[in-house]
Amino acid sequence: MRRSFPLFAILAVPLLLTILTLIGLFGALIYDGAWDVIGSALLGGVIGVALWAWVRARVGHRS
Amino acid sequence: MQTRTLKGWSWVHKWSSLVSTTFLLMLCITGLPLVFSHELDHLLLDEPWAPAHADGRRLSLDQVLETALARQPGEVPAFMSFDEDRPVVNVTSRRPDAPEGQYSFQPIDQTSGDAAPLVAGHPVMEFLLQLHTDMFLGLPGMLFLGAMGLLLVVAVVSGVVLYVPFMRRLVFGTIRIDKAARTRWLDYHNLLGIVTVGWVLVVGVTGIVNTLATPILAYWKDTALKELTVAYADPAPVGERASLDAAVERAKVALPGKTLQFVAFPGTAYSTDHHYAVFFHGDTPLTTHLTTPALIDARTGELAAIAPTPWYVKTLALSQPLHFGDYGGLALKIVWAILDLATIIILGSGLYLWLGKRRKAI
Repeated sequence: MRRSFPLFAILAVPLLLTILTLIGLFGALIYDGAWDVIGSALLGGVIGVALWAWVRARVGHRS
Repeated sequence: MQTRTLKGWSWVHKWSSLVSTTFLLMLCITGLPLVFSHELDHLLLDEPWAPAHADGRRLSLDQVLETALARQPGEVPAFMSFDEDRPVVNVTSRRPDAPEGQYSFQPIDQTSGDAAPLVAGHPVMEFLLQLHTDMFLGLPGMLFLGAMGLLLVVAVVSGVVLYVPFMRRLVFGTIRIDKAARTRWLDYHNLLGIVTVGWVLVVGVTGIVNTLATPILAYWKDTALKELTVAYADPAPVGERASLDAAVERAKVALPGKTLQFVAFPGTAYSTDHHYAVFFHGDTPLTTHLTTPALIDARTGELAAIAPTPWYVKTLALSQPLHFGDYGGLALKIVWAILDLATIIILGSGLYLWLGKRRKAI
């Protein structure tokens, strides 16, 4: 039987992604220049994570 | 989590999503081109143009206003705004008996008084914006979409609650690609839903705030601004108005170091019945979105007050960029559009999962 993860383990990554998203959203609003890039990168990280999961699943499936 | 509690949250998630899905899909689809409205307007309205007398003397604001109103007889001025990169003044006017939201918009070359080409507000973009804002239903439409936004927030929160028991035995990011289509799409739905929670909540909540623009501004007029109009019995008559140029100059002296953004004429949502509200914004990235009006008595031209905007008007002002994502350059807009597409996938997959479950039950 597979083990059951505790609450923190389940929500750790989503929580981290949400915090980074909010830093990106508000950082780009409050500051200019480099923060426009940082904000886009932090927000884009969310898409990166989803892509990583998809690629991992496909690679795992093939192998 | 007890089975009963789980069923309760599941019920909340199902119905908050189902009721709002059609409207949220419409908002996501119309919102996608609106993220790039500046670029699309530029593309659709691109027309070579130069001011008639680039180095010549500029017309006064009063002259521009007079010119604009002569072209729209019977209309009264509502707003005047200023292009940043060309000597063009935009005059918005309306018939006194026109339905709410019906305006004439004229960009005017300040060096000659001739009409200048539009650089924003292409009819297609205006159509999409109106559909996105109120579905052509005015305030009831806006408030209805606000209620749909509220359901979105409920759906997201209940979705996070349901995510926990669902992921008890699965590693983060699991997509069971070798399982049945329904399981696979459930994993896509959960993964995209959980990674976009922060963005969806910010866009959803700021969307709700934006739908409350009319009541927020009306409340501001009826409370903070009303104190400034106690001395006036009747609205300022149209023919008895002080010079607009003098009013703007007076406002500039009262708010040094700020950038002139627009003028709201008496009787509009952004002013009282007695004042020119001359709006300025700051020059930092944050204060660019925050405006402060100087109220100039429309009869005497005297400065009546600087009316710092209260927290709820500031919240409304900041909700606009945070909803449309047009404040961090093209890269942020592209990411915004991808997240919008991800939301469309979340909504579509949610609908697919519900239909599949229903078919199974039948």
